Amino acid sequence: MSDEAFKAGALIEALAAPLGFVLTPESRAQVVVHLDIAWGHAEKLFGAPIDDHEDPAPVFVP
Amino acid sequence: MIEELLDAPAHEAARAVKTGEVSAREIAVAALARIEARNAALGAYTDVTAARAMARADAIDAARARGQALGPLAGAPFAAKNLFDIAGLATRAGSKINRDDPPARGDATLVARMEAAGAVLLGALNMGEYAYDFTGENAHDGPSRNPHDPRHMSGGSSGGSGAALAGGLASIALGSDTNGSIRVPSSFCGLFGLKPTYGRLSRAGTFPFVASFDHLGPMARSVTDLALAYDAMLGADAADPAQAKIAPAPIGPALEAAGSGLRIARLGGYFAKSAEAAALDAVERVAESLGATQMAELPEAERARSAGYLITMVEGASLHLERLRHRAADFDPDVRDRLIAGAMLPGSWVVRAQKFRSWFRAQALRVFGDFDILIAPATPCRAPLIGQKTMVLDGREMLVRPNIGLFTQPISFIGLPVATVPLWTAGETLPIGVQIIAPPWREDLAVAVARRLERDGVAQSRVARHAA
Repeated sequence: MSDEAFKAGALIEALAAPLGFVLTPESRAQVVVHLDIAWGHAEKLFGAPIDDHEDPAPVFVP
Repeated sequence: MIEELLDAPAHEAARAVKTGEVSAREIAVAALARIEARNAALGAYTDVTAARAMARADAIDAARARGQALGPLAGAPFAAKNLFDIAGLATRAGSKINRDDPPARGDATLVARMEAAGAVLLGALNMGEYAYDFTGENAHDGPSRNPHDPRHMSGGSSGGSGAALAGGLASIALGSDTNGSIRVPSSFCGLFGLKPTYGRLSRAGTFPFVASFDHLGPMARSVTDLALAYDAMLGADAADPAQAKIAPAPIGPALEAAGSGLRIARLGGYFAKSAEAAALDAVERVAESLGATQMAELPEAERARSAGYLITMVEGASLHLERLRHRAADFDPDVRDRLIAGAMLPGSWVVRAQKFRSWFRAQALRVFGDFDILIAPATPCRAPLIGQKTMVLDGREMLVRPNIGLFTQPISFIGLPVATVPLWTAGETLPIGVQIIAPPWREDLAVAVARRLERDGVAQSRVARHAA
């Protein structure tokens, strides 16, 4: 993606209030942890071998 | 004799009821007494439906007295994870919030089908809040404890299902599995579990978690019971729009004959690392017993887990958005904070994860061109201690809660059917499970291999000695 570090705190500042979440300091700290974990997973997906024409599978049929 | 039947497989109890050796009432009375005696220590049940159980048992005995044919599970005691609707109970789904809902007016389809087969419902089972859990710990009802060592986790989120079966408090339990919630407690509690193909069994009348991953299925102490319960629950249900339009395929009739002549491989790569020796040793023992000498690779399984992880966060958050806004304080904080994070993830990540799902499914189907069955660990370790927050795998410290499903998540991500089989090691109190993974719609193969392992004494399940 880029060399810029992922800033979970910034995402929370931007989205928590508009989404209607009232976060305690303890809760906010844990949300940061989970956003960082999610970022780690997303980074793995950025390099996935997905063709432009691959269909998403929101309703999955095995 | 009654006590022995409660520890025996459900089909033996059903046989005894059919032959008149015992009545369904005697079994129900004894099962309810056991729950009364043991549940406080195990945290398996959140609701006991004693009056209903007695009425149902009496109806079975009356039918037998009239000479009517009884169902294959006649008189067998069963229970359902508390995200299944049970008429008269609020479907709490492990939460505090849902207790404010009105009682369910009817039963979930699968509960009704189990009763139609003669099984007797004993109650609703504890679970991790909103099924976002691998531990079996519940902030509101207390943890489900592992009957083989109550200091340890039952596994989740179908933790009460695991505790009830291993504790001898039911013969069959119904669970749900989004990312591993049948397979993890089956592994930790030493049970056989079946996560069918996505779309196979009706989900009508159950509380969802991640609609595109949610599966329902049975757990039991014998493979024959697993097959009987699965067969009883098969069938189209117009009330579940996500159910696949595919003919029911009962697995019981061919259970003993099937399971040989299959091309079986161990999964390598991702599935052969980040696990304690016990997990890898269990796979080795299963492979050796089945004569599986070949290794197979599910390419990009680590990415599959990542994609499943992100979709779970976002779909779960979407489901609970209003509750997160208005009832945040009533959630288990561990669950709430993961869901809130999920509500903030960019949509492009999720669509990419969904596209990857299609790609990964195609890879898996290619592997199944060469093999009929794949085997892999169910969990990376035996049951951790209740309250344990971190564990060390491959020399890396990691969080317990999100990582117990390392090996289950990539499989349910693409909806493959899996039977989990329990293995024991001499000198160890706790068991560990192995996944028997089949191609889509071939539950029969997975269960037949499980039965072969059970018959050969490699996999077995039992009521915990501690529970008695």
